[in-house]
Amino acid sequence: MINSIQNTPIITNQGMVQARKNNNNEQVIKPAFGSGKQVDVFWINKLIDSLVDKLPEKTIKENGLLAKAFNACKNFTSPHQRLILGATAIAIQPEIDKNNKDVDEQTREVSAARTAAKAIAGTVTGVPIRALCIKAIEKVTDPKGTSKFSQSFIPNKLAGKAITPEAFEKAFRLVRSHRNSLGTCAALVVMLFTNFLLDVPITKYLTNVFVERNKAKKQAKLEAKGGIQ
Amino acid sequence: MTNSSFTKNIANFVYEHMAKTPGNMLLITGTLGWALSSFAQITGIIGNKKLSSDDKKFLIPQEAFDAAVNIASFFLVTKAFNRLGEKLVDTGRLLTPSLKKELGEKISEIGKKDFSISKLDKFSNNENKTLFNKEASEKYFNFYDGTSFAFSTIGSIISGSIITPIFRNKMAAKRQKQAIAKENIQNQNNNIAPYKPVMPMQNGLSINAYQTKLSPSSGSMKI
Repeated sequence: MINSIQNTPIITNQGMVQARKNNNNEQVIKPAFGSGKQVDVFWINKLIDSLVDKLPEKTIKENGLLAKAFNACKNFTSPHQRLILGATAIAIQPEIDKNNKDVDEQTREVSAARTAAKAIAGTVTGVPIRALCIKAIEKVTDPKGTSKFSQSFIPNKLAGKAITPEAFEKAFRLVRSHRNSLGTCAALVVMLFTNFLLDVPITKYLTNVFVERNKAKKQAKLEAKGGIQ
Repeated sequence: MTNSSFTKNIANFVYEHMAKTPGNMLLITGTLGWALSSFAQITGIIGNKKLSSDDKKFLIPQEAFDAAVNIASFFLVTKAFNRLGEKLVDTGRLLTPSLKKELGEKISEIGKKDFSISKLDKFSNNENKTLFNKEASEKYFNFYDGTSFAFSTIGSIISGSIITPIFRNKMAAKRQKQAIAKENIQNQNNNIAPYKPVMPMQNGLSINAYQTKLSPSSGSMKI
């Protein structure tokens, strides 16, 4: 892996590294960018690391439910996660709002209706937006693509003569990280518009529908009991 | 600036500042995303004429606190779960029998400080290409990535669907009470009859009892 040409970047699946000579004229490998030191952005990582150090080993069954679930998840991406989170939000959050004893009953009902509406609106818009953004980013970061836009969002350090399509594939984790970042940014830009154009109107409409439906149900119950409040 | 320069500049910026430090990327985009969504929803609440003023006094702070608590709990809970899943696999504490077999003699190092399967030559394609095994590496990283996704999703459900609603409801309820009390004081100063929120009598509270409870000096109000 020591490259005969000094300082030429080499792709590995950990990222780009350089072969260079240190002050003692020895070949050393160091990351091409930055100090290579893992910067711990989150202090909580240290807490989790020390917790993990205390945990025992656990071997899970090869064809057991857990192993199958974990292996299946490798194919899941942001839209899948959004769908799962949306489904659980619709199931759980309105119930929490309905049981909020810190407010009066009417506020509880309106709050639960709005939470359900927001979860539905967010999922209905969020999942396709994420899926479309990922597809679009794959199309514009494809070193083998033939259209004029195929390589338009491949950064310079992952493009050009030094990097063959095979080397690009080898750096699959760095490439995936770049695509995920681009996709997230693209989704954020799209959401600037869809939040106001889609999410808010859908939430408002569904909130009013759910509130009216709840009122009608209550009225029907009261009439059935024949009682006056 | 040509189109191709424009797209390349964006690609280079994202690569340098986000792809190599995904943690920073999540911090920025996550915060922006939630804040933007919350702002949009608040404008929707304000513009919804079918919601009463009383409801809006709760829903607007609820939405604002939803974003704040979501952001905080994402970094405290979701990231913690994500890290837990990754470290369990990377340190060899959570593996399948076939992956343990791939470790070979390195299996004895599980539990030792700084042991990391991701950095082993067999899996990482670093200096020692002769030891790198593409199939083993793919098998390992598929399991690693899948476990990371599963743990991060569980963390997201706990933080977004359980912790956030509970805390934002409490904070918003407090704000609602403060807003109603302030409105009552203003009405009294203007010699208007105190605001009487509609309360169902079947809860057993008279309007007078409710009004007494509504004063800011009261403790937590249970209705």
